Amino acid sequence: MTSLSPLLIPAALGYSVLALLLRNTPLRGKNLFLMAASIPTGFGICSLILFFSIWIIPSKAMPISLTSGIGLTLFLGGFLLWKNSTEISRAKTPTPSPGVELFRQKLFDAVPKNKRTVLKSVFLAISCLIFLITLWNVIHFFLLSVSANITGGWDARYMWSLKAKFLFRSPEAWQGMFSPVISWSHGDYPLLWPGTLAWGWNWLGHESFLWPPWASLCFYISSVLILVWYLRTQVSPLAGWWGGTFFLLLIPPLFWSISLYTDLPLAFFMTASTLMLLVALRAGQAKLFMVSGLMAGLAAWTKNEGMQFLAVLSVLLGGLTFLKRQRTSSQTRLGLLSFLGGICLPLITVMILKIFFGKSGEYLGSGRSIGEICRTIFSQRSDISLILRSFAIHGRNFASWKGLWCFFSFAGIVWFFKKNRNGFSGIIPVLILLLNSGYALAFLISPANLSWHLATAFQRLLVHTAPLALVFSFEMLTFRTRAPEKQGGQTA
Amino acid sequence: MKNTTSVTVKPPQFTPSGIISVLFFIALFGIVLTSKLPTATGPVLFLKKEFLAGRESLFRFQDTGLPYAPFEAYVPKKGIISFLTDKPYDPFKMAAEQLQAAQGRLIPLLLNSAPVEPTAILFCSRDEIAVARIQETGYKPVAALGNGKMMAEKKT
Repeated sequence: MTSLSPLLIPAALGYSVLALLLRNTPLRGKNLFLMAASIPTGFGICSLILFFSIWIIPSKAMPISLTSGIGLTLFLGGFLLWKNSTEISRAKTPTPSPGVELFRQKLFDAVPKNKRTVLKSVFLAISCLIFLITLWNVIHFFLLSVSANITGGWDARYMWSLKAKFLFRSPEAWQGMFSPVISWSHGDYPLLWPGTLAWGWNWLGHESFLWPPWASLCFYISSVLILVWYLRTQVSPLAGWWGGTFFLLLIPPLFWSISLYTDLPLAFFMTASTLMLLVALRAGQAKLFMVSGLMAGLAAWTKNEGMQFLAVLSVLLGGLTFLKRQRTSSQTRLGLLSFLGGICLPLITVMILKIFFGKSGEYLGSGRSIGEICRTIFSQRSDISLILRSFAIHGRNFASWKGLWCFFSFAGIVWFFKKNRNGFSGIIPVLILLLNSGYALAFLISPANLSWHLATAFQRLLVHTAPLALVFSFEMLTFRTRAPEKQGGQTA
Repeated sequence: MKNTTSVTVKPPQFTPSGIISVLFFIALFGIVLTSKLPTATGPVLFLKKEFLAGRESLFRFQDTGLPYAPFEAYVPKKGIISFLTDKPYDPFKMAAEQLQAAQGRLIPLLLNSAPVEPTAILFCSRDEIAVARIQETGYKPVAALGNGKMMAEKKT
């Protein structure tokens, strides 16, 4: 399992950062969230460390990035342990440890009170079992498929892996990846995934074929767990297991994950950011906003579409803050500031990349004026209808999506007619609508042939918002047995 | 202490939302029951075993850059050279993959698809085609690796 060893530092680093940010917050299911988000966050931070090392001291970037990563992990881990230990020693009366208390509570909960409780427990246990069996089978299938095609799909081989090779093989000449000579490799694309690959290769000391599939599998499992976490803690435990199982059955996220594309990593960060924002808005806790901001920033560091997500989510949050200003002024403003604080580091890194290195681009960096772009958009009515038809065709494809988009549409109707629309649940459909509208505009102004572009990219773009569509469907169409987070709740 | 999160679980009721919930779960159950993943055959199972055992050597044969390994001895480590194939480069043709696979193999050396650099790799399917391409692009062969694969230099 040597090829898995590069996971060690990202997992520990991601855990330390998130655990510190989530200290003294009333987040439910904190452990499950940490389990889901630690490794992707760690990948993000390690890729940032690698980028800054290679930018500032290219000749010694690899040893410096490794040392910095290990050092930061030890420092933050030690700080977390120290914080936790001082908190325990400060307690005046002896209290049972959280583990013992949890065990006692679980034991107590396990005793059935009446038949309905027994039935509920049995149903939950069966649901959990179905989830675990499905997860096992899907992981088995993932490993079989990547073993047969270890280098992944076209973009994985010739774009993402190419950038990773520049970072790993030649820190002094890494800027070759932005050369116009190889403009087909998209010099303006962000570097979270290439940085993750280069981090692993650097750790192992060679370009391991086995590391990229392991990293991709981590993102896939994290995406499943983040859904289980949110649905379990915000909707119902039953929704958690079934939501996770349903996601495991969706073919596109699995397929593009096996192909080692960055669409599922982006979907993970977009989902984690949005779901954490919903929890933060309900709980009114600044630290939760910061975690949401960090995830949104890492989405922008993963793919260009992440920048669009970041902009849309910031505008939505800004709008909400403005609307709520009359009622809870300082709390919401603090929330917005914390969100922006979380975004900061990844966003600055993306800006450095775009301003100093990857200046070219098919859209904003293409040299076309805003007027030209607008004329292109409004002069192509047949293209607009083709894009809308693609949405309909893909949305109705049951073999791939298992009815997800039909459920989502129905959930939208239910939401529209719902009398009590609290809990900020409307954010998800608005976000999905805005993001996909943005993608439709991007198709219109893309210099590539539209039919070809739709055939190669449309399904992948739907993967970005699929986890959120799933969450919204479960929120609207199932029993809610969990009360929403309360403002200023007790700390855990 | 943890925040108390649960509220009383209400039994399913014959309200519109209760009926929707029951139907939704029935639909989900049906989807789970009818979903299947493709089955795998012997060689793939063997590959998976090798993957889990961490044995990489077998996977090197899947590397699309492998056919370009012989050129490593002839090209500089850094800089830019031209990379020419049977036909002039067209990004919308499948043959474009040759350039991209070669680029992946030879990083940090950059490969230019245009015949303008002082040194060039000829990666053609036959020697005759390679010779014809050399003549039409103004190069001269400096090393023949066989089967249409050559190193060439620009004529001065």
